[in-house]
Amino acid sequence: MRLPERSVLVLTSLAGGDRHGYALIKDIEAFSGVVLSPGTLYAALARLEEDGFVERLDADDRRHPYRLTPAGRTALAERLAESARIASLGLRRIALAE
Amino acid sequence: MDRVLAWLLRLYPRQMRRRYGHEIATLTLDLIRLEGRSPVRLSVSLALDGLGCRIAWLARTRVATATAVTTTVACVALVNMGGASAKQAGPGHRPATAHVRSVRHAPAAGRAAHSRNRKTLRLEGFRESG
Repeated sequence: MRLPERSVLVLTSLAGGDRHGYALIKDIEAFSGVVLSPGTLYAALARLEEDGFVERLDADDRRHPYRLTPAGRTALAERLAESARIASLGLRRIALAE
Repeated sequence: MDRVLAWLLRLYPRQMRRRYGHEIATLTLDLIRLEGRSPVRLSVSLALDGLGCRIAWLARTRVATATAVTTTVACVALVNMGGASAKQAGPGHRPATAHVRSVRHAPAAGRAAHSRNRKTLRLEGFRESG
């Protein structure tokens, strides 16, 4: 199963620690420049939770933090390794063409 | 704004609204209060995301239903194929029979019409001998 881009962003953010919705949006914006809307973020979280890649923790001041599961960590590692391989190949080809 | 949010959340699939609706509303209000984001833009975005979620949800349920139906049809087809091959096997197989009591509770006239109390019905299924 291939993870969509926004799911990769959410998992990457959660790889840095447990976060609730607002913290996730701010973190993703800071490291990628992508501004997720609340609906997009929770659609991604719903799918990731359904797939067992994240878990919802108990509410902290009406906001539920989310945590990356071991399965989520593995899926993210695989997806990032694949992206790194493609990026490396692309950069080598660009360098050869110049 | 709360009313508008409640209405916009209705665009999301019920399961998602029940589990995440409160969090989506809280986050939207946080973004308006703390970030100064435009309520109008957030509302439009919420509406579009809600419709997108609903369509994706419907597509997923349709796919799940189609998979279940296909599997059932495939199973029925396999069972029928098994029955047909058993029929062709011939000597090793004989038709199954079942003894049933019939017209036991029928009125007297009906009982007279059916002189025998026991009937042997030949079923269409087959069972392996031995």
